[in-house]
Formats: sequence, C-alpha cells, structure tokens
Amino acid sequence: MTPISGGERAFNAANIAFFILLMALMIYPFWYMVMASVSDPDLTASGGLFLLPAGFSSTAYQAVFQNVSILSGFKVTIITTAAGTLIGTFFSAGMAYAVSKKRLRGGKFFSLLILFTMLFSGGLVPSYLLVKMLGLIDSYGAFILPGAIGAWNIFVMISFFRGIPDELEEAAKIDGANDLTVFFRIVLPLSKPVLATVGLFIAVGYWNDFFSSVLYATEKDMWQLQMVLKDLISNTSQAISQAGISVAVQQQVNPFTVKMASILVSSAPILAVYPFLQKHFVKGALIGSVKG
Amino acid sequence: MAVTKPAVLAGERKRAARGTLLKDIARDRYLYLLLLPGLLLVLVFKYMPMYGVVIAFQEYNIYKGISGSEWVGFDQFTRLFHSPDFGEILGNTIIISLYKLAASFTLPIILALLLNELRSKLFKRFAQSVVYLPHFISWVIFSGILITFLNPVDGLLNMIIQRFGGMPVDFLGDVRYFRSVLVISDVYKEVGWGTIIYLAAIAGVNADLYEAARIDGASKLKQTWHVTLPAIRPVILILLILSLANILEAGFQQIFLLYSPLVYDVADIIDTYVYRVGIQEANYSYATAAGLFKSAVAMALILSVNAIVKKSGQEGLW
Amino acid sequence: MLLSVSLAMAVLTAACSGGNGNGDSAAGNGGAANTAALNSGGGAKEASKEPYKIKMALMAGPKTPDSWAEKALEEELAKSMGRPVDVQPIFLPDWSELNTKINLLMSAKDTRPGILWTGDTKEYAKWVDAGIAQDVTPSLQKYGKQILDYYRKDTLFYHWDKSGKIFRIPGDVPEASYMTTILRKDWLDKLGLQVPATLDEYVEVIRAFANGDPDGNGKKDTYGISGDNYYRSLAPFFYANGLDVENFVKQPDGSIKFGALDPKVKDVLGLLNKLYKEGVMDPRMTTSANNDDNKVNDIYASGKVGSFYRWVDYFNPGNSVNMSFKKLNPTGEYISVPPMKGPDGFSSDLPDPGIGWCYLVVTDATDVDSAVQVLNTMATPEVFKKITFGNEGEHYKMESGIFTPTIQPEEGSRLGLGNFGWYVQRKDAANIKNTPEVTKMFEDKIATSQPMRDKIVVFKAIERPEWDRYSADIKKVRDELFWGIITGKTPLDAFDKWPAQYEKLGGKKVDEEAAGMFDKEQAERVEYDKWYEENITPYK
Repeated sequence: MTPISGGERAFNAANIAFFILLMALMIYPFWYMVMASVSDPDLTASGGLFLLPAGFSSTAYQAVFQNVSILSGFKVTIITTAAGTLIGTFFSAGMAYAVSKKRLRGGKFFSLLILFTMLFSGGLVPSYLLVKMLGLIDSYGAFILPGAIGAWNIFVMISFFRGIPDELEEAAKIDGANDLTVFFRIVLPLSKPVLATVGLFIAVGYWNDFFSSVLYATEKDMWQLQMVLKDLISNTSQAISQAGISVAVQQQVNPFTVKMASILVSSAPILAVYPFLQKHFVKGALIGSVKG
Repeated sequence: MAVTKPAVLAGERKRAARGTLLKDIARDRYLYLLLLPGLLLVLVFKYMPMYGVVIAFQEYNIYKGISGSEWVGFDQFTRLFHSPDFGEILGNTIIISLYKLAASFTLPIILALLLNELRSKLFKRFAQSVVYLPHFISWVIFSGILITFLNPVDGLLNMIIQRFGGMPVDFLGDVRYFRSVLVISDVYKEVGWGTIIYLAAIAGVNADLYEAARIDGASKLKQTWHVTLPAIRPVILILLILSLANILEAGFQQIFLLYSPLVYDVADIIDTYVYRVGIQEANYSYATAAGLFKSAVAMALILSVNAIVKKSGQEGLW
Repeated sequence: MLLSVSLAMAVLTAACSGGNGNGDSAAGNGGAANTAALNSGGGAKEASKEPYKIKMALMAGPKTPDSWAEKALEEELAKSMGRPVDVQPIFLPDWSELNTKINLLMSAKDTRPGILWTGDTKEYAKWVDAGIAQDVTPSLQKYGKQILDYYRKDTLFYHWDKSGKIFRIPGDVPEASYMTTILRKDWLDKLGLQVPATLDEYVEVIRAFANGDPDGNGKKDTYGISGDNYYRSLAPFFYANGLDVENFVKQPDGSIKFGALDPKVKDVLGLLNKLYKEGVMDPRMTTSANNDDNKVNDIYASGKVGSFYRWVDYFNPGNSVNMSFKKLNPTGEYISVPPMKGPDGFSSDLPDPGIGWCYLVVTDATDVDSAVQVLNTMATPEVFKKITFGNEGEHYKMESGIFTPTIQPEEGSRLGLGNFGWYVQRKDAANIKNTPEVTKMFEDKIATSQPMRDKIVVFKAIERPEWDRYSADIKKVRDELFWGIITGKTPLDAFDKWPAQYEKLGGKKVDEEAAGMFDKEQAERVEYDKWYEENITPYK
C-alpha cells in the first residue's frame, strides 16, 4: 500500500461526510412514510408530520395484513418476478452474447430489430388481442412473457460482453470448446456484475408492473401487487374531478396511514434484493480469471 | 472478421458470397441457438402487435377494428402540429427533457465514482443501498411528499426560508422555479438508481491497470481520470445513445401530478396536452400519432448519434 | 317543470345519503314509498333451475372478491328471481386505468360484462352503434319498477335516446346540491362577528379570519378561505354574481353563452386577486398543492382556515375529516350557512345537473330481462341497505336516526360492504348513513341551489364534436388567465382580450354547436314527455 497523502485523507473525509448527508436526504421519504404509517390516523392532518410520528397506532399494518387482495397480490407478483427474472436475464444474455459477436451474420439487423422495439410498439389493443388469442388471459404467461426481453437491457449486456477479452474465447476454442460451452463456462461466470445489474432491473420491472394486470387480468386474485396497491391508494374524488366531472363522491377512502403502510409492505421485499446482489459487484472478478 | 456490408455484390461474387454466408451460419449455429428464444419472444410479443401503429393514420374505433375504421391519412398529425400551442408544448418538452438528460446523465457517473472511492466496504454497500431507495417511491406518493414540503404555507422548506428572514416562495406556482423543481426532484429520485450500472462497469475494470498507475505514482484523482473513466467509457456512450430514446419524454406522471394552470407556459408538454385532449374525446388515434411522432424523432436522433459515435472510432450500438 | 320536480323531491325524499359517502342528491321519486312495491316483477322464468350467471363490472367499495356482500346479494337475487343466481364480479382497476380496461373488456364478446359500470361517456355512442348496448325499456317496463320509481323523469331524459330507447341506466345520481358555504362558528363568536348574508359581509368576515388572529396565538397564521384548485371552491364569489365559468349559462335574452366570458367574471377575479394579495386566500388553492382531496381535508381538519365551500357530508359526525378536526380542535366548530347574496340580491348553491355521473349498460342481448331484474333487486331499499351497510344489529345499529357501524372499517371491507355501490345508488331514506340533521341540510339545498340550476345549461347530447375538439385549448387559456389574474401573475386587464382569444380558439364553432343543441333539446323534451307518459308512467 502506498502511503495516503494528506490531500487524499481530506478528500476521503469529505467524501464520507457527503455520503452521510446524502443518505439522510435519500432515506427521508421512507422515514416519512414509516412515520405516517404508524401515526394515529386522526392526527396526520395536523400538517406537522416532519420528523416524528403523530401519536402511535399499529392499526394500519393490521389492516394491510388482513387485506386478502394484498396477500394474493404478493403471491402473483413473487411468482411473476421470480420466473420472469430468470427467463428475462437468461434469454437476454443469450441474445446479447450472440449479437455482441461482430462476426455474426445479421448482427446489425438483429440489433436494429431490437432497438426498434424500444421506440415503437403496436399499442394496447393489438397486444391484448394477441395475448387473448394465445389463451394467456388471467395466466402468469401474460405477465411474464411480453416484457421479458427489453432492448435497453440487451444493449447494456452487449456493451459488457464486448469488454471481455477475445483471448479467453480463443483459448477455450483451441481446447475444443464450442460457443455454447464458452457462453456457459466462461462468459456467464465472468459477467456476474452485469447479470446482477440487468437481473435487478428486470426484477424491479416485474415487481413494479401493474399494467399487465390492467390488460390481461379479469379475476381479482390474478391482480399483481402493484395493481392492488394502485387501487388502494387511488383517490376517487380527485380522479373524478380530474376527469372533469364535478361530483361529491367521497368513497370511504383508505386512511392515509393505511396507504403508507401498504406501500411500505409492498416494496420491502424488492428493496431487500439489492443488498444481497452487491457481493457480485466485486472488483477484479475479471482479472482473476484472466490470470487463472 | 469484419461485419460484411449487405451491399450489392457484383454478380460473379454472389455465389461465392452465398457459400461463405452458409458457412458462417453453420459455424455460428450455437450463437443463433442462443439468440433464438429471446428473438422468438421479441417477434411474437413485440412485432406481431406492431400493425397497431397504423391507427395513427385512422379514426380508430375499437369496435370496428383496424379493418373497419376510417383512414384519415396524416390528419391526426396535422391536428397535433396545428394545435394552438404546439410550439410552446414542443419547446417545453424538449427543454425539460434536455435539462433532465444533462443532469440525470452526468450525476450518476459522478456519484458512482465517488461511491467507488469510499474506503470502508461496509459503508460503501450501505450508502449504495440507501441512495437508490427513492427510485422505489412512485410519483403519486413522491409528488404528495414534495407538495407537503414545498407549499408556501406550512412547507418545511418555506419555514426554513422564513426562519432566515426570507419571503415564502410558491415553488409549484411560480414559473421561475417550476422547472428546477422538476429537474431536481427527478434527479433526487433516480440518481442512486442510475449509479448501479456504472458500479457494475467499474467492478469490471482490470485491477492491474490501477496497480500500474499506482506504481507510476498517479494520485487517486489521476487514477480515476486515466483508468476508471476510460474503462467505463463504452458503457457511458451506450447509455448516452439509449437515453436519447427519451428525448421527447419529459416525464408525464411527474408533471401531471405537480403542475397547475399557473405554470402551463413552462410545464405543459406534449404528453400532458394530449392527455387533456384525450379526456374530452377518447381518441386512440390522436394519442398514437403523438407517440409515433415522438418515437420517430427519437429514432432519427439515435441513428445519427450512433453513426457519429462509430465514426469517431468508438463502439456504438452495433 | 324543473321547479315542480324538485318540489316533489323535497316532499318525497325522506333522507338523502349515499352508501359510499357523501351521497347528496335528492334524485329519487321517494324511496320510502316504494319499498313495499318491489319484487313484483321477478318470478318469471321460474322453470329454469340452471343458475343465472351475471358478470358485473364493479368500481366502488373495497373490491373484495368472494365477499359476504356477494353471497348476500346472490341470496336476495335468488329470492326475487326464483332461481339460483351466480354473481361474477369483474373488479375494475383504479381510476387512471379504468377506461383502458373497460374498452378492452368491451372489445370482445367473451370478456364483455353482462352489466357494465362506467363513468366514461365517450365510448357510449360507439357501443350503441355497434349494437353492444341493449335497449332496456321493455325489460324496465316488466321488471324495473324500483328503478323507474327511483329516478326522476328529468334524470332519465338524459339517458333516453330519441329513437325511443334507453340504452343505459344511471348508476349514481348525486343529491340536488351537495356543497355548502362553511364557516368557523367559534371564530365568528370570538371576533364578535355575525353570520354574513351578503358577499360583501362574507369578504369582511374572511378578512377578519385572516387578520384578526382568531386562533389567538398571536401569529398571523390563519387564512380566510381555502379549498381545492377547482372553480367550485370559489363558488361563494362566482355564484353570488350568478356566474358559472365552466358551463354555458342562459342569458336574459334567452340565448346561451359560455359562462367564463361574462364581463362580470372580471370583477370577481379582481376581488379574488385582492384577497390573494392580502393573504386572505390560502395560496395553496392556486396550485397543485391542493389538487388532492386529502390535502384539503388536512387543511380543513387542521383548523387554520375560517371558510370553505365544501361537502355537506362533513356535517355527519362519523365523517372522518370531521372526526380529525374535532380531535385536533376540541373547541372548534364549523357551521353550514346559506349561500351569500350578491350585489343584485342573487344567491345560489352549486346545483348538481341531476344526470348522474356514472351509468350501467346491459350488454347481453339474449337476456336483458334477467339483467334488469338483477338491477331492480339491487335498487330495492332493503337489498341496497344490506349490501351497502350490512345487517342491522349485526354490522350496525340505528339509534334515534343515527347510524353507527358496530364493526371496524377493515371488517366492513372484508365483508365487501360497498362493493356493489354505484349500481343504482340510493340517496333517499335508504341511505341511512346521513343523520337527520344532514338529511335536512340536503333537503334545504334543493331550494338554495335552484337559482343557478335555472341558469346553467345542461346538454343532453353526448356528441359534442366541436366542444370535444376545442375545449382542451379553450380551458387551458381560461385557466391560465383566471388563476394568473388571481395570483397577480397576469394583469387584470388581460381579461379584456379573452373573448377574442376564445373566438380564435374555436369558440365560435363551440357556440354555434351549443346553440343548435340547446334548441334541438327543447324540441326533444316535448317528444320525451310524450314518450315518458306512454312508456314509463304506466309502469311506475
């Protein structure tokens, strides 16, 4: 280790201070929601919810865990996310690896084909008719398959795969490996950071998806969690006003505290994913294997 | 092997070329096999419904279907371009999205580099996990929190301003501040999330390079400048090109939840305008036409920037 | 005619309330009287033992699948229809995705709900064109007595097709007027002020609320008036002058005119600008800060503002906003007062057009009768009460006319109470949620909202292509201008350019269309009266 200079030490201290400040800032909305979710429902209106909860009550969480739709939403979303992330990450990696090889005939064509889907889509109705024709309405297939491959993810992966030195592949080929073995034995293990990243993006995409339910679910027990949540926190009278209808429709809305508790409960699992993925972002993974 | 240009080959070379083509395909059969499942999903779920874009040229009626709906040519586009405030909404869209692009593209890179400099592994991981939290708050909720904090009567920020003797500011009702609120809140929400991809890229940087730089006596700052940044440049460029896809997406949800007539002149964008028109008349065709316009602009931009990037010797999208 | 109808309502409507909340309209031809005469229509088709399956699109309530309310309804339907009934709810998604879902469901026969609930009017014409929406008139005559008795003749006019058919039934018609001027009684007393009766007095009162330190904390931290970012919150100012900036308004010469163009609007905006500058008007009213109802409810409950133009429902003791207010301000008291009189002695509360804001469409051409029987059963007061509030003694109790739930709200959600709301939502005596006091307030509002009801033009026609085409642009300019003037961002004189702008934005075509429709509608009413006498009156 080279000795640390004074300037560097000052920089490190400043950097740490900066991140402490930033973290305080970034965690605040969550703190706000936690605070609101445990406050006394009648007291949240005082306008003074800034640092500490107003009163204390756990009724909001009881309400959330008694809500059958939230529970069924969890089931649907967990299955969708798990299966979709596996399929999406794996298929995307395969596609990206093939296209990343410049020698591949039609590589540019496939790239364009993929890019095009990022910008243009046929719209809701044709997608709905297609899924209906395939008999996927109210099935997991409808939530998983249409969104499994995303152009953005593919291009990010392509860029990473191109960073893998060609010598590795060539060496393996001399040893008699074909493209499949190279992909599974060398490329995938070397690409943990990007697989973890893209996997996370795909997982979060599935977790936050509600629109598939809007399009493809008719049974309420097939609603994804975010769809249940969206319905729970939507504000009827506001929606009606914005739609230009002036009417006093005051549904017995869910109290603010319940809304906040629902949001926290439904985002907790996906928030917990990233810390577990971080171990794959280890520096030097690549270099070790090159040497080995 | 260089990518063979699908250019017109002279007649006598055709047969030879076909031979090479087949040979190449046979050689790369496993690559095509890897490509296939994803390609199938794309073809089925993205391309089979693609015929739907034609409704931009129709007066689409869902019950008559595409075959039964009336064709109107470019009427929907003409109507969009001739709407009274088209100049204003297009300008707002571009300005807001450019501001956001500038901020939300550069700041995650800087933040990722700073995160990378944190010595304590534990602190680094913790910091990473915290800064990406706001991404998970939907705009519906986040706008509510923002409004609570920015409002001129009992918002925390204005209470602070008043504590220091300032006058309360109506951040959401004042054209001077509104766009800043949009950009800052967008950055706040997405900056941490944006670092993840760069952290993954930094993780892949060859550690030997740092060692060599250290031996050369390069300071931390120099190492970042001369090793880290060049190593992640391909990713940065790819992300830059891809982010152009959003050049006409200024953030509908966010603006829709925060704006009001007082700031229409700086905040009304194509999407909010089309939405308001849509409330009056359920018009799929009009919305599709607006979407097609945005996509076409983005496509043109991506293709040109990609060409420029490649011309400069860098890796483009292909 | 309007007047006579509303008088009839005043007499007949025993209580107004809505299962899902602020039910406020007197839109019923008297529920109590009809309760006896219900299920006479049922009983046909007794032969079929096969359960009748009915898919219903539902938007209201907690949207609980397989709920107690669903079973309770099925039992009631089996009783009235004489055969087993299987209710299959299709729960619609939240508001922002609602129309998307409805359009997809309606696009194919196998996904189409037997009874569709919708708040959207734009697709309706297409459903009629495509033969998806069924004429329910013959079935209503046979099996729809409850529905025909409940909805006023005037309400049904808006759902009547001039071909002599009815393709849709209103789902929820609000009370004749459901908003009111609200003042802090304890502040009035403290500052030694009388309840204002005129707009001038009202302005002085809210000025005092803002400047006289009514909360006694020595700080200037109160406002005179607050509300949401919609014009309805400013009703005390506009309506005292007989102005409505959102609708076409009848002029003394018999013509009609877009209300926002009235030169008197300028004076009101000038006054509001003064109040804004003086800090009497809560600045949060002018931005999205108050778009969200919850925010306004918070302000209402926090007790820092002296006046609102808001829901009558707040005066139900069980109203959650009211309960919050009481908890935060134990000595505070809000009162509802009659609308302020303007310079010409005119005054009015905000009238509901009486059309209903959502409606039901029967789609199954093969069995319209059964669908109407289902709706008719749901419209009976007993069934309505049961699926909305539960069983008396089990889920709620009534003490001297005051409704008190005996179960927690979460339990009510679990039971699915309210799931079937907005399916002929009763606002009469069957809506037991309102206290007698609030019921009385709703009744009084029928008369106090009449002056504006007489002025505002309500268009029957859904097809208003010119309005649809230009109104987004017109409203944008109007809203920018009006809120700009109120906040001082735009000078008051900019108003003078507004009529010309309106014209340029397509206002002329909108005006012509409106005038044409207005005339046509007068003619249609004559036709309708005749049709109603022949086709509805005998079946009531």
